[in-house]
Amino acid sequence: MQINTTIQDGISVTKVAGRMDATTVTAFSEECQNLLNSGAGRVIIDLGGLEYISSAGLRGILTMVKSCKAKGAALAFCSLQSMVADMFKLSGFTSMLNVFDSIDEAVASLR
Amino acid sequence: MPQLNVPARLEQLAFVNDFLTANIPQEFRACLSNLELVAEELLVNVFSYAYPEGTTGKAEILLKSIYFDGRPMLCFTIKDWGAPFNPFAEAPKPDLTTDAETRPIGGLGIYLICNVTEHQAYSYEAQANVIDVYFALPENH
Repeated sequence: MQINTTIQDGISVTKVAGRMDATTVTAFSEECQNLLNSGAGRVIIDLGGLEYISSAGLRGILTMVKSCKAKGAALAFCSLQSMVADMFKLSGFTSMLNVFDSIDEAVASLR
Repeated sequence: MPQLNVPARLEQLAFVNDFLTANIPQEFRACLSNLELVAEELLVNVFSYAYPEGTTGKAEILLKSIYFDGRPMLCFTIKDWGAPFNPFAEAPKPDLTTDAETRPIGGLGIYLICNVTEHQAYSYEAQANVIDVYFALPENH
């Protein structure tokens, strides 16, 4: 799994690519915690490069969501590919979280 | 019938995925992500809970094309030799209607398996937990 965070219009954008499974989710969780600990108040998780997610990955996503709520940070997800979009939908994440088709829509939602 | 035996350790997951990618029948290729999902969910359960802490057990997986109820299907089988445990009978159904703050973390694995497969079966045979999971032939295969 590859993770890369940049700042776009004052918003932290974390791009995640590859596979988020039981062996890789810890790296995602650590990146998210570092982001929040550094004071990020608006965060987008761009999943455009993520091709696979399991329940372990969904646990990492939900943990991130709860951490953001606890710290008062705004959070959005965008650009889900087919398998990941299916898992978000099946798990009720699509309706529970702020999920957008594109990075531009996600950025606009946090302005 | 492709078969793989692995030590029950999480680090084996990538090796298992390589096996599935190499052995999935062409007509079921569109199921590969869901097959990997099922394998991960079940194997992580085995790796985490089947054997006493400090011991390394094993898991066996098999892939076979079969006819089930007269329809072509892919059957994924996983065996372990831990204590009897039927994950389909014992996993509570998750509540998907709660908001993010009250939603419990975890508990989705078996639910996801049941949603991406056609049929699931558990048996305890010759001191082994045997789980069979069936995938329907994808459309436009």
